[in-house]
Amino acid sequence: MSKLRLSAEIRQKYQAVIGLEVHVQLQVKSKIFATEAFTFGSEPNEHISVITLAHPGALPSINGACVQQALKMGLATHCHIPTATYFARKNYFYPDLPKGYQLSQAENPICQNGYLDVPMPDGGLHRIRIERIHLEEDAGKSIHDLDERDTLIDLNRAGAGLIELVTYPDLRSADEACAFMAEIRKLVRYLGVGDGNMEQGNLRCDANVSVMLKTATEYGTRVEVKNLNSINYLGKAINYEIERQIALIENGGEVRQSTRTWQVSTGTTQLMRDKETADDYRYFPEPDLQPLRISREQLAQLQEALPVLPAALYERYTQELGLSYLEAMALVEQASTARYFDALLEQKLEARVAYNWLMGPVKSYLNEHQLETEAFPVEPARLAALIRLVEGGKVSHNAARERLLPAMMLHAEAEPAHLARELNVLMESNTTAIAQAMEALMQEFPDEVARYRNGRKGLMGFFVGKIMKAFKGKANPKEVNQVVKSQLEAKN
Amino acid sequence: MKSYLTLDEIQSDLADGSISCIELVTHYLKCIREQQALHAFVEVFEEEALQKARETDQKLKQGSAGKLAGLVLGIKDVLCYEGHTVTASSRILQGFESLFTATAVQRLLAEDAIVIGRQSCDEFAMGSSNENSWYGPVRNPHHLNKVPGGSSGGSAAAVSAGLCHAALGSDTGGSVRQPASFCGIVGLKPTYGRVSRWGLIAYASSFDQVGPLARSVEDVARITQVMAGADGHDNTASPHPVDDYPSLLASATGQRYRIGYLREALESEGLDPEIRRFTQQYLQQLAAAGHEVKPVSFPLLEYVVPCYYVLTTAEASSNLSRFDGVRYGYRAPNVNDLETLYVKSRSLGFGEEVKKRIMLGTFVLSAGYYDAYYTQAMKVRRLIQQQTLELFKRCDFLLTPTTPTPAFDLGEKTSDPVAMFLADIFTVHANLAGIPAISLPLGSHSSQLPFGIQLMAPHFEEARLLAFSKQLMDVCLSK
Repeated sequence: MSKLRLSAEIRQKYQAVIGLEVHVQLQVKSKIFATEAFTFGSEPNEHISVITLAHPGALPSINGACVQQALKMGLATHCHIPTATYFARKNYFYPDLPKGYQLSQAENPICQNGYLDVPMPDGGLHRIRIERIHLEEDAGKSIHDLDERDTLIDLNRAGAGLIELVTYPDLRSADEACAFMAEIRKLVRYLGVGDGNMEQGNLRCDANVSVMLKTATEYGTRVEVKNLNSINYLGKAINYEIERQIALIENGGEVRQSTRTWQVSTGTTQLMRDKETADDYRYFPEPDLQPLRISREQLAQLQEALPVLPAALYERYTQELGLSYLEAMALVEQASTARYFDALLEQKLEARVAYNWLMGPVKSYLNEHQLETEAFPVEPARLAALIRLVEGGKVSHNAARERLLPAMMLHAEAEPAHLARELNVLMESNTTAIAQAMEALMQEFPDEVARYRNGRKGLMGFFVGKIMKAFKGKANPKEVNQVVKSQLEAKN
Repeated sequence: MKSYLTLDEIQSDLADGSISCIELVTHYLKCIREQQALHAFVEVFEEEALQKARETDQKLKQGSAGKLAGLVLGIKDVLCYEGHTVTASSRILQGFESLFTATAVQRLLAEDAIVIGRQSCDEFAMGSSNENSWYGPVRNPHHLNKVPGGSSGGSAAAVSAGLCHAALGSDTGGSVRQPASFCGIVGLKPTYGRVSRWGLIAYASSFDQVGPLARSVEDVARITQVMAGADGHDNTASPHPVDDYPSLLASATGQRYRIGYLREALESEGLDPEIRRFTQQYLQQLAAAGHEVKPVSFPLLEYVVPCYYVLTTAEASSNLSRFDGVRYGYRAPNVNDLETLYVKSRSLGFGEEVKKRIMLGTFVLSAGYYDAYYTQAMKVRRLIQQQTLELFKRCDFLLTPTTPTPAFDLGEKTSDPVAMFLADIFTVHANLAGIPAISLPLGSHSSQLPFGIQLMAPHFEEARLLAFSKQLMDVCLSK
């Protein structure tokens, strides 16, 4: 990617300072200031009312569901929620912005001054402060490449509800920024605020990047980088931008306040506009909407209804259950995975055992079928019953994984133990029978016994195999091993 | 057909069969045709009005007619009416047909009012003379070389000339009251938020209010009562309960009110001497009738017009951004790129006054000027609101002339925008403060032109304002 090459020594002199602006498309049934549906996959311009089309005389009405989503996000990030919040108009002309202004918030946004504790790869939690979260509407889509001559406009998305979350410049590296973004994506999904899909643009982010000498006391001039539609690109773009800025300064240049866009094809950022040519959006209070009152009762109810959040789960998994950073992160990545895990724990399974099953057979099944954990066809209680069969030596791990688990998916009602019997995978716990079989074998193969006793310990497998075969795999391997070993080594 | 002052009279004649809705509509259609020189209407819904009249006559026979049956109404060309063209008297909306009906209109239709046509106005309700209409100027029925006032000039002229019984206008800085004054009829601007703005083409959203123009206070009361009230489509429409204005009209009888008159208004330089004298005499009569009449000071008066123009143009510059030639309305021909599409469509589609106000509004909201103009004007507006509320602690009503002069000549002020703006000096106060205000046709000038007296009341005191207005009109008419 980057053609810039800086020596580690030079790179070491500088500190990067990063802040993010994150847009989340809200998961709600209708638009934020209009009543028509907002869904994906519709025909172009299927969901457009007179409000979305900005017909003369049409006025916005606020969708309470969007307000709730913003409040959930604010509560989850420990924000101050004012008793009244205001909307503002951001004025600019573009064909996919029908009113000629975007309804947004400027002064007194709905959520203010919060923070998010982000698990970092070193295992610690970093507190990233959040300056604000505000509500706004999305624009439509301009499609430039479908028609030879004309730009086509699809206004289905125009007026869809968004929140924009702005951090303080508290992030210090691309890795930290990526960890923060991953945490936001999780949060959005846990709360049901959005689907967190970055590729589809339902979760977007812009990064403000600056560098300063480590000895400096003031931040450098920041550059805004746009068009970051994956966490991977976010990291790459920040690293590129850090190096570009350092190289510029090292070569006697000066970073100018500007907006740049990430170019996937070249792996570089490219200048979009300078501060001098920045738009003047002429924000002013939206006169068509009254200040929005937020009652403390409503807030208390929302707070009450908040689910357990990924940071709390992460904390519990690492601190109480002793799981590693990576293991805990894998579990909390999706709320449904964590919920499933917790349900297994409720079945009195040991954390490690539950983790191995969930991240082993369950995960590979889900990956293979491209499913989310919540779509896993076996209920936690039934999976726990299966795991207990394995742990109790009733079914071998292999048989449980390869035969019993698939059968359980097909027969949702059947008891695992019952199914195991039907499948003939229940292991027989019969030390006497195994001992008798072994005695018979020892008489049949005296040479092998003698060679074993002379040090060819590997011959133990020969006897184990014979017995397993005789018991058609239903003998408990642990038990077989024990019996074979004790008889071979018995001094007679 | 006899000349009806009130809807009550019409309805009592409808009840005893001495007239029918179809006769009423036919009569008004004839008058409209005869008085085309006024240019009051830009479109007449002839067939539709006749059809609705037949239906209403049928309903009257069955006893199922709504409470406004017999009301033949004109609507200002800024009110949306489903399936009908609405243009804000602008080129940029030529041919635009609305897909929905304004709440104010819808509520009147639901009570069987008949909409006979749409009426010319200043383009996007910007103006005080109706000379800014794309359809050409409207003339004052009292004197054809005079303006009817604006921006609801077509509506005021039509009601005054008997082309319809009443009309709906909109009032952002006096656009109902000032033409009512110039045309000698009654015009009410309700409290901001009293009537839904859904379907009213916005000029300045925090000022605009739909208001009726009629020949009597009774009709203004009846129309307002039907239109007013909360509306799910308009977040700024107030849930404050709507009083039964018509039945409360007698409630002022025997009441002695505290009436404050704005000293600064009566002393203002541009005030026509005859209007000043009349107002002073009128105040004396009120005192003689037992009311407590007192001068009050309102030193902010000189700031109301500048404050009004900064804030309304700021809002307008944003409100009118949607007229971009992209989705509907006028689009400049032979355009190949976006920038030219915007520039040409808007340059050719909007008239001079509208463009002037868009530019002024864009300027006052621009970085570097914002605080000096917009923020400052917002502060002044708050002061005006506070001081006005203070005045209402000592007064029940504030009284001023509606306008500093009677109707002026066509073309007289078109080249002097400041003089034109000052025509609104007494009316913008109510819009800045959000209070209700009414213009009553009490005065008559030696030039044979009428002029109005304006009464202002505290927020949501329409019932008291209308009752007192009725009393004043009764005294005036009995003379």
